[in-house]
Amino acid sequence: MTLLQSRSPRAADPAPAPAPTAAPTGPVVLPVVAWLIAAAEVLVVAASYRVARDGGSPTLYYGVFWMGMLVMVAPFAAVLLSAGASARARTVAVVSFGVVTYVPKFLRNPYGPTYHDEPPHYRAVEDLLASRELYEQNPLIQIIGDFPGLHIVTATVTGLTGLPVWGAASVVLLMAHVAAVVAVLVLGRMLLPDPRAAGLGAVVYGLNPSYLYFDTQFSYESLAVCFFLWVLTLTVGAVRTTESPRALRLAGAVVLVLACITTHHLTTLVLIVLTGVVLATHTVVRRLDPAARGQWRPWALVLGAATVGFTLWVLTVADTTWSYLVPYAEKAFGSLSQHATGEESQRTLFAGSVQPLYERLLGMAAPLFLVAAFLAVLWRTRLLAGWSHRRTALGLTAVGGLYFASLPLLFTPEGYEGTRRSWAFTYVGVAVVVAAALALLLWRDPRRRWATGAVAVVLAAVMVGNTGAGPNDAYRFPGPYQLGSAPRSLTPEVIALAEEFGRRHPDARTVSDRYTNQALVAYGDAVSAQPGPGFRVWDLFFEAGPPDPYLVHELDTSDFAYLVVDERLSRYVPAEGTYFSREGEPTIRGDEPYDPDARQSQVPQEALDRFEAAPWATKVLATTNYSVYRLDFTSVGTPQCDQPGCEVAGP
Amino acid sequence: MTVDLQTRQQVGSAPGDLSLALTACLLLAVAATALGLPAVVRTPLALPGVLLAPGYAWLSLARWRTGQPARTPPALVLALVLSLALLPLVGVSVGAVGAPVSPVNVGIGLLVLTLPPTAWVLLVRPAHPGARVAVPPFPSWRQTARRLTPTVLSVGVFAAVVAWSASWQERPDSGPYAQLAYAGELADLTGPVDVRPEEPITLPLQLARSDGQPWSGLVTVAVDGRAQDAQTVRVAADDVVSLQATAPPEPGQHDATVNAVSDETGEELSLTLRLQVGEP
Repeated sequence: MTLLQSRSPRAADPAPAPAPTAAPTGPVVLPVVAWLIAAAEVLVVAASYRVARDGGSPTLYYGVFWMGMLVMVAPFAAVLLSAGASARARTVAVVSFGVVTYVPKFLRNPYGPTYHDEPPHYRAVEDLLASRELYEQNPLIQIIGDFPGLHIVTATVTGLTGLPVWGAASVVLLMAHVAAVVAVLVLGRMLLPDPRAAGLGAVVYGLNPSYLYFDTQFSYESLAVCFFLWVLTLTVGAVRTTESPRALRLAGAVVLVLACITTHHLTTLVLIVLTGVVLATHTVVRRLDPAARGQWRPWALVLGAATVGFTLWVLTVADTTWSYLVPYAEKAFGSLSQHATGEESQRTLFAGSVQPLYERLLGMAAPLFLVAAFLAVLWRTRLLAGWSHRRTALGLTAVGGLYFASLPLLFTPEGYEGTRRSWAFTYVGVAVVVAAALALLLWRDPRRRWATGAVAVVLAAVMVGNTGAGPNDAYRFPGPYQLGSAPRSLTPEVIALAEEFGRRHPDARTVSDRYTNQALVAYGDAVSAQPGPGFRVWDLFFEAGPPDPYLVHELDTSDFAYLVVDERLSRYVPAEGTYFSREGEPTIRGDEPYDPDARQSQVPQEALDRFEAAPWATKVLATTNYSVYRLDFTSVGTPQCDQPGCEVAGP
Repeated sequence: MTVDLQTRQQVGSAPGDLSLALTACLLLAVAATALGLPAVVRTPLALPGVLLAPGYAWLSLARWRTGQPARTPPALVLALVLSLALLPLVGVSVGAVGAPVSPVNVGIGLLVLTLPPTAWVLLVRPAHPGARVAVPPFPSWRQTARRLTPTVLSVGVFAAVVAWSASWQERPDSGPYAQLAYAGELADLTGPVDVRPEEPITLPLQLARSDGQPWSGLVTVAVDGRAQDAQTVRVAADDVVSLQATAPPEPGQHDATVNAVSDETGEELSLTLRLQVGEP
């Protein structure tokens, strides 16, 4: 049941099962040289970050970054591309590839949480360590409290090692990051007839747009993806064995499914869908091929465990899951249908990006290359003709096909985010199929010496392009302070303010913009307001007049006692387009390149000045760029009422 | 390719030995944490103990049954993943029985899961004494050390370079800053401060600079715009400076404003305090 059944009889021979070998006694020069080269290139990557932080030209820091990154992975990729490397050397190369590809994100923010999702998870770990209770509501992303897997892991490692939370988080993420590519390696060894191609599959998976930055952030998805990949690997292993070995692999897979359920909602849902796709392939085929009967059972068991477990989890613990996820799905599909009928404007790829032209071009070319490799395998290996005895492979090919099917959503404003997140999952199918194509090119004919160089160049191009199609410049590179950019607005000033505020007013309920909130929640233990269409906190900032009585009522009855104001809000437009929330706030910036001076801020200076004079606000703390006000509407008789749109006479 | 097949007796109980060592790490890490020992003691015990011991114990039991080696690199990675997966399951179980989900309790839960398979692999002999387990022969320590030392050193160099590079990455910075805050009970105020006409008011303040140096400059307090007290001060971050003011004689709401102007930068920070002056 291997993926690749070539027309070549030689290549079609199944490879012997890897046997245990004695510990290698060969030269150790190559790994030593590879690690020393990698060490030198770490300095180059770090230098590119320094250039970016100091406001250098994007052309320069992108160029330096790729020079360091590509040379850093090259020795390990070379081992995987060579025909003669041993299985152990390939495994070590894949592990090393996992380690070195963690470096860019680690160096991006070694000092603490920075990406948008990181402060809430950081706070969740701190809350767990302090309260020792699960399922606490998170002030920034409420649902993450219902999926505490990552927080339990990090809190336990923190508590038992004595490392700081961020240090423990980095260790956990490194482990998950490396384990993810090893899962693809093991999967490839089972599905590909030439075990050498499995290492290529691992590398191709590691080229997916999320691998370098998105799935290395401190977020529950980063751990869950690792569980997801190992569930697939163990299930494929179970399909290929019987009796006790099958039972043991399935037991492992079910443990990982349960861990996945406690860790991340979306990964579990994707697991359910993708195992369903593979199971459907088995179910259809087994009717025509009696020998295949029974091989669907491992997939059915995993699908059943995931479905029942997730349903029970949602019913008993995470009852807000659907209300959290459904609006995203509705928006994505609604956007797609509107896009198809021409009712919605098209999203422009790389709009407003400072990425160099080569990265943008390769970002668009990479999927085309992958499509070509995908189709080449389907045609060259007659995969479809042999579908009756390659059921799992066919199922995973279908999973890989979902990657290509998702690409049109990139052009819709609402579907883009979900599409990008799906690639970490669907890319496993792409990786296995493309590795089969590369193996054909590399090793089928030893006279093709040019093939190694060509494949290396193409892989490098895909790495550059796919990374470019992932997180944007502000996430990938440090840079000067930028108002309204999550990864570039957590300055020492706002962190010091948050820590000071947390010391003076522990567990205070605060109102602020979404970027200041990140610091207040992560470093000041604050409980921040969650603005939305029904809680129009932004009105306090967008209008200089008296506050809306209904908003006053909401703030007063919800005990929001502090207002934290970034005084620069009136001077700049946020880089991410919104000041407070993506839900309901008037959109002020679209796809045009970010230029803080090009458009006027939505926040008038008069609105900020108003806080200085308003009787309901007492300014208790001030820094160079921030002001903290204590709110008290009741004692000064500020009009309030409990119905939206109501009017109340002033005092 | 030579396949070395050795009986379990011949290879010793290597998987069990490693499992025992990892389980011991976990046990000692939990004990060290309970005793409050420093991180330098706990980290080398807890990392292998938490991230490998539970998964490796179960994997070595499974591999022991199926005759596959548990010390191959992919198997070790699978052991890591299983350990990572067991952590949330243990944590959720600890929470479900009503116990605090503390690191020590989760560690104890991991021990409960880890000890049975470790003991089984160590203590229980194969059903058939002649059963063969396919494991690679273990080279001597000297051989292993000679082979691995250069690689370990080069990985160490890599890790050191990563750590050094990390040390010169900095947060985005919007420049030096200063901080002015009400100190003491005033910081806990919930609304206008109730005072009597012409009552003396003390305003405790704290001033700090981003570079940690003492703040120096002029601090003034004004009530309804009329200056009442001014002091030239030089204060360290934790020191409190107190300004004096007098409440106005007229009943009603009034503003007390504090201004701090830095000598070095000329930057001005301000605070406002609402005063509710009652009837005489």
